[in-house]
Amino acid sequence: MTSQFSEGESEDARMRALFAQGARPPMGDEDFVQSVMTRVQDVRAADKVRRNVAVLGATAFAGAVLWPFRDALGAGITLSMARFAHDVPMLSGGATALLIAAAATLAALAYTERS
Amino acid sequence: MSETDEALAREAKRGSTHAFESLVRRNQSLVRGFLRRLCSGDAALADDLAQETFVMAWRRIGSFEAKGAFKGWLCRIAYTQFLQNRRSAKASTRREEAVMADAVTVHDDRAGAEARLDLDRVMAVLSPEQRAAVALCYGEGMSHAEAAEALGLPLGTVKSHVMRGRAKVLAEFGEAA
Repeated sequence: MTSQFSEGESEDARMRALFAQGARPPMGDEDFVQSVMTRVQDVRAADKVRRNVAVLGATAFAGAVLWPFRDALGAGITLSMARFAHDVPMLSGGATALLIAAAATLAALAYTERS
Repeated sequence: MSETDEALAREAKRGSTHAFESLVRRNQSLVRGFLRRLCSGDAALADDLAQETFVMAWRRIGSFEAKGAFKGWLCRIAYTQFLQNRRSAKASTRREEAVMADAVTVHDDRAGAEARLDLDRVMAVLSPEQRAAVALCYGEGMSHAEAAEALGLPLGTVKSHVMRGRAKVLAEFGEAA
C-alpha cells in the first residue's frame, strides 16, 4: 500500500515536471488584453443599442396604445384642474403640454437608467 | 492594488470595464495555457477560444457568484467553449484528427520519437475530459476539488480522469524513451 502511494507521488512529480517544461503564454500580453477589451466594448455598445431600441419601441407602443384616448385623458386632466381655474382653453393646452412632458420625462428616465 | 479576482469580479458585475480588464490581464495566461493543452498545442485556435471565453465571461459576469473561485468559473467557460467548438467546427475536428494521427505516427516511429514527441502530442491521445482534468491539475496546479468545480464534474470522476490520463501520458513517454 505504501509503495503504491509513493509510486503515485513520484508519478505526480513526473507529470508536474513534464508540464513545467511546456511554454506558457506570457503573463503581461497586452496585445491579447487589448483585443479582448475591444471586443468587450463592441459587445457593450451592441447591448446598449439593443436596449435603447427596446426602450424606444416600448415607448412608441405605449404612445400608440394611449393615442386614441388622448382626448379623454386631456379632458380628465382639464376637468380635475378646472376646480382650481376656469379658463378652459388654457387648461386644455396645459393638459396637453403636461401629457407630452410626462411622456418625455419617462422616456428620458428610461434612457438614462439603461445607459 | 492587491484586490482579489473575486472583488474585481464584483466590480465588473456592476459594469466596470476597468475591473474586467484587470481580470483579463491577470487570467489570460492561465486560460490560454489551459486551452492550448486542450487544443493539443494549436496556439491560434486556443487564443481564439480564449478571446471567446473572456467575451462570454463579460456577458455572463452577472451570474458569477462571489462565493466561488473566479479562476474555476473562468476555466469552466473555457472548457465549454472548447467543447462547443469541438462539436460544431468540422475543420477543427479534422485538425485534431490530424494531430492525433501524427501522435500515433510518432508513437509507431520509435526511431524519431525522442526528437518529435512532446507533451502536446501526447495530450492529443487523451479524451477531452481526461485532457481537461490533467491540464488543470498538473498544468494549472489546481486541486482535484477545484478542477471538479471548474469542469462541472463530480470529484470522483475528475480523480479517475486524472489517474487514467496520467497513466496514459506516462506510458506514452515511457514507451518513447
